[in-house]
Amino acid sequence: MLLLDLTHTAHTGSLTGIQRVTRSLWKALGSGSLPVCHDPHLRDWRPLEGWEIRNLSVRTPAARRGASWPLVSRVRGTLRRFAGGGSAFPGCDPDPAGRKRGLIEPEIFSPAVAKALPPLFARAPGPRVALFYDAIALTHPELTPSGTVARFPGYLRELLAFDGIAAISEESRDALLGYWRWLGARGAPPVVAIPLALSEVGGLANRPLNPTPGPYGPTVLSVGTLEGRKNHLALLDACEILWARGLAFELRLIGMAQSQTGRNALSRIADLRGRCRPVRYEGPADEVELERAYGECAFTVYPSLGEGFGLPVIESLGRGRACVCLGRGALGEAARGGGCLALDSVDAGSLAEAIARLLTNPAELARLENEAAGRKFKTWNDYARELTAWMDGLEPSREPVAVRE
Amino acid sequence: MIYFDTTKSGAASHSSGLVRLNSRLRTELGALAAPMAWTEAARSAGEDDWFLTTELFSEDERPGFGAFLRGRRFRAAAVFSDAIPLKLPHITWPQSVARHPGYLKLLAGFDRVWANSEASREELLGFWRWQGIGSPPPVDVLNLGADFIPIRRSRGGAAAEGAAPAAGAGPPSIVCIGILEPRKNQALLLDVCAELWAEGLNFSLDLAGRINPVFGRELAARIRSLARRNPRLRYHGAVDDAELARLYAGARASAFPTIAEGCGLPLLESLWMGVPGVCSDIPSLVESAAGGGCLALGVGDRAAWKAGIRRILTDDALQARLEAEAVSRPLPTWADCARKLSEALATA
Repeated sequence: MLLLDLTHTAHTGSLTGIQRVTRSLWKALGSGSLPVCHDPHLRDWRPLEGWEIRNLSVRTPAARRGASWPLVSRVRGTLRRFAGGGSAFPGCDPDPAGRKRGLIEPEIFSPAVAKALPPLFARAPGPRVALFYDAIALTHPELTPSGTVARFPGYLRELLAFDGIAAISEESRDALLGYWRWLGARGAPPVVAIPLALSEVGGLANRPLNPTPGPYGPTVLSVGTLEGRKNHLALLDACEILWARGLAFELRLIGMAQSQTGRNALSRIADLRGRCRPVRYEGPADEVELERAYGECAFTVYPSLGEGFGLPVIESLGRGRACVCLGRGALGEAARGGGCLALDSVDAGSLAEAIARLLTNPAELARLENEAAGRKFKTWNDYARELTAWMDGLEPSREPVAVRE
Repeated sequence: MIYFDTTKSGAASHSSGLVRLNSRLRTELGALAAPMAWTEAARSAGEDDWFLTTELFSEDERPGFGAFLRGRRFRAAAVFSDAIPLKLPHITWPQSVARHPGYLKLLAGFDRVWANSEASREELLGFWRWQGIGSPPPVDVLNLGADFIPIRRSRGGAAAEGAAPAAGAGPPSIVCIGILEPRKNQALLLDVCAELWAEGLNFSLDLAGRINPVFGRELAARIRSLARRNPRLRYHGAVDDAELARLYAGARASAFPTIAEGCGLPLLESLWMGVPGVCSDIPSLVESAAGGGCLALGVGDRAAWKAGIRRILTDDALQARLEAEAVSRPLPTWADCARKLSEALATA
């Protein structure tokens, strides 16, 4: 039995990339995992309760990312604490093959959770591994909310306590190892790149669809949180260049807006709409709406300046839609197998040229769609198998890591 | 003209290494430098001018600063101190941790950068490489001044110039200067001294420095509690330079058990006063210790520190040798520092 820390995911309705990864991994692990959380009111770890399990299956995204603890759960946790006890906690018995099973930490955990990790480790005798997404908060601090930047140096240090790290791409693996080298960490845990899987939503994977042009012409879709590093400003500028040139198409944006770093994009959208440019933005979408959007669009654009993986790129390709994106880093890894118009730069001019090419060159678009349709993506079950097989080979309970100050 | 950035330091009321760097450099540059806030420099500086900063900054703290650098008509230089907020985030103010990655990235947009030690230079260049900075500016080492107070350097020179020893004719004194916080690691020194006192060694420990309001309160409470029971432990609070000189003048040695420093000015200042320094063997302090007068001990190694403090207190020959080395070794002054900087800017 593997412990799976879902402290944040079980208390938010958010469906950002990380939330989708943690929910998908939980589903794929099935009865092989025990989802747990650190209850700040109980001040201890416990298995998830029914209402928290139900939260894991949310399909309609909440408007905010933050965790929420209903009053009744707060009172219950506090009373349990005063009554002197945590919940029954099955722990991690060896599996039938005698292997000790450990812990998977799929979240970017908070400082409070980090402080509470030692007692969780004590309940997980097997290897304890964490998923690692990216270090963009430190490589692109100017595009990241300041609270996230402040959290990351401590978080990257705290990851040293795990027995292994599963990075979501080669790029993110190299970023973490490079940071630890710079930090002077000796005896750091092994870091492996295990790229993420593609969700099979609505059975549409790899099935080419006929796009439905709207009243403004074909739709160009961009899925992703509106935040600094996702570079929506450049995309909006690119579209404005093309609209001013007379090209007819609609830009549709899907994703929640980050309150600090997404502000400029929201304001630019309002400005363009005020000038009757066909920009459609209705915030985040549930899975059904997302599928419909992929089905209706001509192709997608993911203008991000940097990613740990770039889930929207493979989600687009998995639905037979070509994607315009950066050709470097983790996005370059995602683009490597075909179906993408991979760019050296995602400035407004480059994006405009790429969008114009796909709007005006049906043969090129069809070639990319064929490439996308021919790609094979791992499922979350494949991912879970790959992750747990790697965990089985890890040495648990390593010596503490020394950091040269 | 050098437009010297005093955006934050102009109003600083506390004493720290950064404040000393800013004020002493500004003083020594004299008429070559015009102190002003960056917003004023943005209006005044032309293509023959330099904007020089020793401060920490971020886009959040200085909205428009990135654009100011990118669109500048003048040249920009900076003195870099350290990356400690990234290395020790758990004992650094969250605001400082949040500021530092962006600060380091903004530094890459300057024309020249000086680091205050070879260790901090390597730290900065390493971080830029990791951040993927393509063509960083040249980074040279600028040795900071040891001369926090003007004296004639000789054995007992400070006392001769009016800095009467604080300890008088009592037992030998170990002095430890620095803000009270986990990074400076005074807790290790307290532990070691408590053991040595318990074993009968007669000496006093003089601690001076302000208290880190977030991370230093617990340590300060411990020091005050111990000092109430042991008159040989004295905490002097934040001291001015005259008081600092007086503390050094009566000291047999200084102790600097810190776990991270960019340069470690108190060690240099101790040597300036002819007082041997017992210090951690972290890279930046090893650089300073290499010229003599110091006993470098394993960082955080309690046994080594106990033995080292015992030796400096009881081994007169060792203490005399280190004192002689401290007095005779050349040390950088703030005038040297300003000269090196101004000459480099003039010829760039």
